[in-house]
Amino acid sequence: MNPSSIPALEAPEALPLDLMRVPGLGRLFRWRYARPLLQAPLLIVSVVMILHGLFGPSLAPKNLATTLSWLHFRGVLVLVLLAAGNFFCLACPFMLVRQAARRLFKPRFDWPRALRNKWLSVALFVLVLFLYELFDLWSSPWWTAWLIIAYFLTVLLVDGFFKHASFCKFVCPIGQFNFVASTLSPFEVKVRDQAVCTSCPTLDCIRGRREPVSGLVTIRGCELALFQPRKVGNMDCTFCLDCVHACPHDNVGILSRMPGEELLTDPLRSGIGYFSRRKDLAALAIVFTFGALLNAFGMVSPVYAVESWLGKILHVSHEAPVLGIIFAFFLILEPVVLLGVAAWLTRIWAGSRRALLPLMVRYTYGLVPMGFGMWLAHYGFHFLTGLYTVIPVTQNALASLGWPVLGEPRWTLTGLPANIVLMIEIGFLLLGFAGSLTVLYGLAEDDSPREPVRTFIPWATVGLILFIASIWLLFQPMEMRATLMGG
Amino acid sequence: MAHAGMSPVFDDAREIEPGRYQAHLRFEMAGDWVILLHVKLPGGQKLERQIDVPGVRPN
Repeated sequence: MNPSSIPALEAPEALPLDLMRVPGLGRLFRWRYARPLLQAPLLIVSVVMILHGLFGPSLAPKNLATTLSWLHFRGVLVLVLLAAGNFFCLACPFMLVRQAARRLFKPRFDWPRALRNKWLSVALFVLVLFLYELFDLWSSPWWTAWLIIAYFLTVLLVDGFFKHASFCKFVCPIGQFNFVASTLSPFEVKVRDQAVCTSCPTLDCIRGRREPVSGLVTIRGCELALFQPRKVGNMDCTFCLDCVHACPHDNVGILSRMPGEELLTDPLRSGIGYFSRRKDLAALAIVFTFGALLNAFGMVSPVYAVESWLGKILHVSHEAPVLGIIFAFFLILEPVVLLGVAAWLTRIWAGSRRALLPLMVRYTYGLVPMGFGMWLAHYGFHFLTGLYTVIPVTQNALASLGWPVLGEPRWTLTGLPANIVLMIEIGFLLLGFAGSLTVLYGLAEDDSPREPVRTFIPWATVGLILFIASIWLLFQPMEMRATLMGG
Repeated sequence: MAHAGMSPVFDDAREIEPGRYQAHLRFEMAGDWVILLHVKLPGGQKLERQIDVPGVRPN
């Protein structure tokens, strides 16, 4: 047989993995009460944290509020975002309370048009980072408990007055963190077959499923205004599965995809618009990325030298103004200078015709993987080095209640050795840096097919600076973050 | 004031003369440390005391 007559074998296109098709898991997610089932345990844990934070030991390492909040919750959150997707928002305990409250009080107002963007949530994200440093929240079970209470009250207040998922989309700082990080997650809530949507007359995924006669909504459509057929990526998606339950054609799945691929393209996204035109989203990406370094900087020795130096120059003894200057440097001055210079070089060296600000907005998203790498390294460190500490803290809590069913606290249980965790941290940073280079080169290729390297180099240099700064931070001596437990 | 989960240091105190006990602890990083004493009295009673050691400087 003539070899040329043999038809070329085409590699079959790899089908994405659909978590909704996984036996057991798919059945669970399709169940209408899957979300409350996942939320209920977290609500119970939240109540325990509040009670222990308010009435338990005042020493942070002995309290469930601080141990679970600042070690286990943050660590599990970033690892699940890296390995799967925004499943914390799916199991969010605040939304369970909101749902219960909405049975009593129906919201009457639409979220104000002027606030239908990320600026408020960006400000709240910065505020949480600022308060965390100012009040040393990691060391205070009492303040940590009140932070959780404040979160519940804010959810009830916002979603008590305003319709849909106003709190999730426009207010929640944790949600914004999850939205940005989940652009790098390997799973996405997505339609399986666009053709099915094209012929769908009811659009239940966005409008909700209704009673034929009364018109009452029986199954909610997307509360975050993400119309499934035009939804791109994970931004603003809480994985609430409302669309999955509402779709009459069972056409919505949780599909695998290349992490970060949504950062490489700039299509019109349902409920979002164009990434490249959203200055508020770019600001969120900046706070996410540069805030990762700032948050880590707050726990190493040099920060105290800088604070002391600034205090002497300004003749102030209170931490707030000094911290304000450090925040302004990390979250405003540093990004503006680095991104501004990179954008300017892109114009004069690579010949880009875009103005400086649109260039900065477009390429900011390329730095998100580096920022996520730093969050993973930081939160992963605390989680892994303190992995088992929840055991003696729980033993102690039960023993102090006169119910020592788990035995005497074994304070010697801590976590993985720091030298092993350091290797994992470096791995996260390398992963983030590689991800940023990949996205930035993709954007450069898209913008300048003839001069992709010249466009890429200024932005890659910004990524390299952040990577070097992150590595430097890992090797700084830690300060103010130690404790000594009796055996 | 300390972060949950950071590596603790342990030592058993030994009686060096009647009524005086000594333990050796090495602060492995700078910051505010807290020493927790867990004492078992001859009668079997347990006693817990906390001693704050703020502002440990780096070497």
